[in-house]
Parts: sequence; structure tokens; C-alpha cells
Amino acid sequence: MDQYNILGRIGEGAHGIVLKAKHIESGEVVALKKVPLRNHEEGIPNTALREIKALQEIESNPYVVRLREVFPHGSVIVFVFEFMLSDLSEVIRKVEKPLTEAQVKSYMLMLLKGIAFCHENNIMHRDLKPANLLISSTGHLKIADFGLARVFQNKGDRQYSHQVATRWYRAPELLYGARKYDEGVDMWAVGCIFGELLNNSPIFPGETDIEQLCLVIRVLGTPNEKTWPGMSKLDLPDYHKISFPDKPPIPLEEIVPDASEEALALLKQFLVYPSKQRISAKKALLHPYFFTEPLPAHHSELPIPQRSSRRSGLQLKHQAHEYNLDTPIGDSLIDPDLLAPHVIKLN
Amino acid sequence: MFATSSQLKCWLFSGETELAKHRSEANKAFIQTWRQDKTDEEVAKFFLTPSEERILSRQFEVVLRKFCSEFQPPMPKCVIGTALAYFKRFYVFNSTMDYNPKDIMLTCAYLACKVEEFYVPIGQFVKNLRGDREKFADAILSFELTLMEKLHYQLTIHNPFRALEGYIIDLKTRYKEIQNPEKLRKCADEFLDKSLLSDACLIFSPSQIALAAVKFGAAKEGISLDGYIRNKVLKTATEKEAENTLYQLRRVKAIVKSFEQTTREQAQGVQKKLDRCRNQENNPDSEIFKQKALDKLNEEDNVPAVKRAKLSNV
Amino acid sequence: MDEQGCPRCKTTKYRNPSLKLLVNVCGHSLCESCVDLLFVKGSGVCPECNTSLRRTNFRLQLFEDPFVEKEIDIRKKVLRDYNMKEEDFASLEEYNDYLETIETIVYNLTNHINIDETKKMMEQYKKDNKDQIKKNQSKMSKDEVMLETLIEQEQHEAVMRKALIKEDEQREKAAKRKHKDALIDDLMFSELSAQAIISSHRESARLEEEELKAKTAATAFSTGIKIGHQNNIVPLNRVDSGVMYRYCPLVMEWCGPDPPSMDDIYGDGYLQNIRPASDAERAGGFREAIACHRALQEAFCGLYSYPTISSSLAMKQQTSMASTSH
Repeated sequence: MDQYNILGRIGEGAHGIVLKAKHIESGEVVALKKVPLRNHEEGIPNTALREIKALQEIESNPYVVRLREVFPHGSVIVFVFEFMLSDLSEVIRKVEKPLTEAQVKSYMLMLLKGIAFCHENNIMHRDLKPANLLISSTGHLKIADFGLARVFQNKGDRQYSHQVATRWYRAPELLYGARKYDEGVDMWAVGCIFGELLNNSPIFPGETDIEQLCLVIRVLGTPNEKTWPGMSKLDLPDYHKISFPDKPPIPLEEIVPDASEEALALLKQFLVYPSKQRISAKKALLHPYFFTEPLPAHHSELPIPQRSSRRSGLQLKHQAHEYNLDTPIGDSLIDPDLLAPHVIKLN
Repeated sequence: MFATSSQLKCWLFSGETELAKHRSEANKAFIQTWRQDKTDEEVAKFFLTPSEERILSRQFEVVLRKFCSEFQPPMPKCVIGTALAYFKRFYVFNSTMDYNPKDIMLTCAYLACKVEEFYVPIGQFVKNLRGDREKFADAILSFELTLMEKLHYQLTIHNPFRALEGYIIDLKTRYKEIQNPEKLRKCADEFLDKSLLSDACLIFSPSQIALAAVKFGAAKEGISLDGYIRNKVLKTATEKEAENTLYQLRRVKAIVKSFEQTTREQAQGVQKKLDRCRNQENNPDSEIFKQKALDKLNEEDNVPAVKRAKLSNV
Repeated sequence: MDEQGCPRCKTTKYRNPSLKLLVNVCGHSLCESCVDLLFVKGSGVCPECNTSLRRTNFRLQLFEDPFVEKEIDIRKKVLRDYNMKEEDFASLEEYNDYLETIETIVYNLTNHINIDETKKMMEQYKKDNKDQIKKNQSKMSKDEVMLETLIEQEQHEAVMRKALIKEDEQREKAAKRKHKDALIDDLMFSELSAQAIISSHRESARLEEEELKAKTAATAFSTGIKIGHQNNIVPLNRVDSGVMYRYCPLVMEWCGPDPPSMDDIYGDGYLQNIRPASDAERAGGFREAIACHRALQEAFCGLYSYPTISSSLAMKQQTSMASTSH
């Protein structure tokens, strides 16, 4: 700790405070994430372990935030990350003009390269959202916050929690309570982020789990044998608890009106019900979208918003939407009347 | 992916000779710090020798595996493999006199449970122990950070179990010369189990250990897998790669088979000697350890207090 | 000094550093937001001089004095017709006279002197030289030809340089590998102590490296001047069309035989030999092929691993550092 000069406070994460500091020897500015161990009766929290585990094995990649070192300080573990100026949610909220197509392409390219790298290393992120995509002072995008990341398991007997990923970016199989899933959950999130970049606002901003499902179904149509093969036979824990009236899908063109043809073509490949049919990050990188004019912008042409003091307030507002991972699906229902038109029966 | 892992880059050694060298350096370093003005003769009498240390750590490897295999709820194999790998890695660069293997062993098992996502609350974990369970829990938690630090925060362990599954599937699919590859499984499993007590995981890649296990299992059934290994697995390998791999496979077998259990008497003698020469700063029962833990807590308490004072001045 | 700013809303560069001033054919500037406001319909009049303008003709003001911008616009227009080149004239004098005429026209138009007369003159010129103008439009001048060849030459050299660098790298890599192999052989078979072998190898590697450096430095010098010189020529009428995105597949280190691909798993009958995924597992997108693929990956990955003392040297240093800092 003596090797660092604290410069200020960046924010407060779910697992501890994040400080801005300067490495005295090299003069490099870094972010220190302090994870307290006290008050943890179980020792080092699992989220911290997962983050260390994932980041230690990922080789340096330009699109994944770099963990420089970890060290204990008293009863606190300190993670030292490269310092990042901002994050994508801030970029989306703060830019005065909508992002140009070239800029969106550039962000998508960096995001997909990072995801492809993680998936190639058998790591699912499970919590992709604009706030976890950090922006460097050079405009580069880097994936961060591996607190929920899991190294894939392939043994049939292991189950995952379905309460992962911030609600707006949560894949439909998770909303239905699936315990077994794959990289597809990340690709759904990528699709949501893509839509958000194109529209400048989230495309599925659900306030509760059920509203979230309603929003997805409104756009993709009620899932049936054709759109989600085998789904009715599938044993999705929450599938029989709720059913929706049959509705046709709304063409994505109406949801993202300003998008180009290629953008829509790619978006459609992310936002499909069967996880296996979602385009993989590796394949998406070869999509015509990235090869047609306007070509992806150079990173120097990307906006770099300054972290302002207003940020803390904005963050609080943002956190109101943050989903509490432990709340069961039933409890998160707020007003059944609001949902009534979308729901046939609630068991 | 093992090929880019910290395991391959930082935790594989060329052989037992190199391991012995590191261990004796750790032994020497500890003695250097604590010998004060003891003569060489006194040193030999008072401190453990590298080979005595080895007896002790081997003994505790056996105890750790037994603890894990009797653990309730039953531990998946990969947790056991990871726990033992942690323990072995720890004592490559650290002396048993510095950190008592008894404490480290339990911490390894507890950390392995968490890292391998086999979550057991600490309360339930210590139910598997006899004696003062609260004291055990405190010791485990107090060494958790030290363990992580000594493992350089490289916590991902690649175990050979899944690779073994891979070879059995591959044999069934690509090598029809064997009637029923399932029959190799029993002996192969036993081989892997035995390998846990050797230094194999510090020298060989998990795939090499798994392939050696399959080969051994086949040999027990009177089947030679040489054709499979040469013509299927190593079909695309260069001359040198094939040669190295075959050499490594022979070494795995030699190292796993040469394991001999230390006797209880041997271990008990060493244990007695250890009680005198161990580092009291790392003994959870000692006064100095308790004082240090308390200082640490206070240090943390003081920081926010200072900050608050500053704020009130403003 | 005059603060640069928008004449309409009076915002200045000082107050808004991101202020973007645009200029149209009349030579009066406006900031971006005023343009947005006044030209919603796509066309409108300049608030300064009432000239009717199209929104699409607004462009970024490059010079502090908008007047210069106006001149540039006019010059561009005039030069479109007055496009004769030096080689079209019998003597240098005639060519100079021609250039003089152009300058007069440009000056007149920008400063509102004899506009009608000048315009008439231009029309006349256009009529008289219709064929010549057309011909010249499709013909490149000597200068342009030279530029073209220069650019080509430069590109060619860049390709050559890249190839050279690559070759050097490969040579270096091969040399390193050779050294490593030799070192291991020595460690295995030589009777000298390991320490002595390592240090002698280090010394010879260093010498070789120095030799190589001297060599490359020499080549860099002889071509260096030329390269530096060419870089000073900025291609004039070339517009940079953005860097093409190129897909480079991820290359994973493997250190073992290639495992069967996902297609092989489906094609070669691997799936008959494993437990099928349950319905619950399929719902989330899980397939037995994934499990099978991972198991095979793990079986083959790292099979060629062959740690040597030198490869774990880095690790040893790391640990000794960690222990001293303690």
C-alpha cells in the first residue's frame, strides 16, 4: 500500500470502495479496488475469488481490463487495476449527439473481440452491461467486473444460479429460471447493449423480472415451438408459473428505427430465443456489418466523457434499477394490475 | 485453457531434482533467519532437515487426502485435486517450520471448496473435524490470505479428471480395437488417485497424467495403447514433440509408482522436533500470533477514524 | 486578439472549447447549433448577407478568417474551368499571364469588384475553350502523375520494409530457439556447472544480438534519409478513406495435438458415447456436445508440455523477489 499515493475516490462498488491512486515508482495511475474481509464470516468472499481466478488466467488482452496485482492490506484485499476514465453507460448517457454508426461499430468490435477472447478461454462473464464496459482515456473499451464470471463447467451435475446478470441484459432462459446455460447468455447481453448503442436507450428496461419477460416477449413474440424449439417440453423452472397470450413478434425495425440494414441483420442474430442459435462472438466479428461503409471509427474518434462530480448522484439513480440477486422472482412483482393485459394467468 | 494458464507458466517444474532444490532453499532460508548464534551442530539438532520436512509434508498430503475423501457432503474429485495441488505448491517455496502443515492443509481444503464452487459454509466445514471447532475455523480463516499470497493468487488448478473422460470418449470413438474402454476406467481412476500423493501435478500437464493413467489402466487389462497413442493422439506431432510426450508418459508412471508412504513413527518423530523449532509468529496458539492479529484489526479501525476526524474539522 | 466565435449567438471558443464553426459559400461563419437551428428545412439565408444557402454546403471552417474560406470556395469554382496546365502553353510567359488572369478573377469575385463583368468574361472563356476544358478535366497534369508515382513507390517500399522486418524477426526467433536448445543440450551433457553454462550462453547471445543490431542500424541509415524525405510530401488530393477493418482470428496457444472440432464431434460419432443432456439442460442452450468438446480439449491441451529448468527460471525469480519484499 505504501507504493501507492491515493488521489481520490472513484466510486463504491457492490464489493467495496474503488480509489484512484498513483503508483509511486512508475507514476502510473491505477484504480484500487478494496475488498474488505472483515464482516465476512466465510473469509474471502466468493465474488473476489472468482474475479482473481478469472483475471489471473486471462492473458493480457487489449479488450479486457488488466489486473496488475493483488495484495493484502490489513484485513482488506486490494486489487490493482489499470485506471479507466469512464464506462459505456456514461458514454451513452452523456453524449450530446447520438453515436454515429462508425462509433457504434467500433464499440461493438472491441466488445466482441473481448468476449470472443473470454469465451475462447472458457470464461463466461455473466454480467455484461454498459456499466461494466470501461472506457480508457484513449477511447478503448475494456470488459471489467468479473465478479460473476465462471469458468465453464462441463460436468452434467453442476448447476448455476439463474439470478445472474443485471435484469435488463438478462437472457430469456435466465428469466425463465434455467440453471444450465452457456455463453449464449453473454451474447444476449451483447445484443441488448448493441440495441442500446443504436437507440441511445435500453431496449428492454424492465422494472421487475416479470415485466422484463413481458418486454422481451412483446418484441420477440410469445415463444412457441417454432421460435424456441422444444421449449414447451423443456423443464424451465418458471415456465409453467406464468403464461402469456400469443402475440406475434414486432419487427426489430420498429424497435431500432434508425439502424442500418446490416446493423439490424446482426442484432437479429443476437436476440433470438434459443441460446444455441445466437451468433457467437467469433462469428459476429465476421459479420458484413463491420465490413460495410461507414467503417468502424478509429478509437481516437470515440467520445471520452470526463468523470464528473455529478457521477455519484447519477450512480445512485442508476442503482435503483440494480437488481438484488437474492430476491426470488415472485417477490419482485410489484403491481399485478400493470401486468394484467400481458398475462393470462398467474399461478 | 491449460496452454495459457498460470499452471503451465509458473507451476510446472522440470523434475524432482529441481523441486528438491527449491525445497531445500526454503529450508535453508528459514534456518538462516532463526538460527541466531547456534553452531552448525546445534542447527542440525534443533531444526528440521530438508528430508525431515519432506517426510512431514508427505505425511500431511496423505492426511489431507483422507480428510477430503471422508468429507461430508462428499467432495467432488476436482476439489480434492485442487486442495492437494495448493498444498504441494505452498511447500515448494515455504518451509514446514515456518507454516505448520496442519493449519495450511485445512486452509487448502477450505479454499479449494470455494474456488471450485463447491460451497460449504465454514460452520459446516469444521463439523468434519474433531476437537475445538471454533479454534479450527479461526485458524483456517486467518491463514486464508497467507495461502493465497503464497500461491501468488494463481488459484485455477487444471486437474486430470476431465481429461481422463476425454480420453475414454476418444477411445470409444476413434479406437475400435478395444472392445469396451469402460473397463480401463477403474485402474485409470486408481492411478489418478495415487498420482495425487506424488509430485506429478508439479511436473506434468494434466493431459499427460490422464493419458498415462489410461495407458496404465489398459496395461492392467493386458491391452497396449501404443498404437492409439502413436497413430491417433500423436499423429500430427513432430518427431520431437512425440518423443518428448512419450518420455513424459514414462516419467509420470515412474513417479506415481515410486511413491512410498512414510511411516507414522517417522512422522511423529519429526512432528516432535517441529514443535520446538516452528515459527511462533505463525502459530495460532501463540501469544505473539494473537497480538499480531489484534494489531491488524486495530490498524484497520484506525484508518476510518482519522478520516472522520478530518471531516469534522472541515 | 479577436476571440473566434459565432456571430449570431456570440458563443466563443473560450466559453465553449468544443465550439464548431461552419462556413458556407458566402464566407460568413456560423456555429453548428445555429446552423442546426436556422437550416432545419435544409436551406435558408445567411443572417449576415442574406445569400440563400443550402445546409449541405456548410463545412468546417479551417481558417480563423472566414474570408479565406470564401476565397477557397471561389478559387475552387474558377479552377474547375480554368484548368489549363503549363504544358498547354507555348511559353512560360503565356502561362504566367494565364495565372495572372485567374488571380484577378478570384480577387474580383471575392471582393465584389466588377462582378457582372468578370462573370461574363468567365462565361466567354468557358465557351471558347469548351473542348480544351473537357479534355483537361480527364487528363492529369505532370505534377499529379509524379505524385501518383511517388505514392506508389512509397507503398511499394513500405511493403518491402515490412517483409524485411518480418524476416529479421523470424531470424531472431530462430536464433533464440537455437540458443535455448543448445543451452538445454549443454545442461544435459556438459560437465561444466550449470551456472557457468548459463552465463557463457548469455554472453554469446548478447554478442550475437549486438552484431545484429549493428547490421540493422546500418541499413536503417542508408534508406532512412530517403524514407524521411518522402514522408514530407503530403499527397494533395487524396482523401483518407478510413482504415479497413480486418478480421484476424484468435490464435490460441495449444501445446498439444488439435482436439476434434465441434463439427468432428457431430460427424465422427462422438456423441453416441456420452450421456445425452436432459431437457432441463437443453432449455438453457446446453448440449452434450459442449461437454464432450471440453473434455476432449482438456485431454489434448498441454500434452506436449515439457518444462525445463530454464522455463521455470522466471518463476523462481518472481518468488525470490516476493520473499525479499516480505
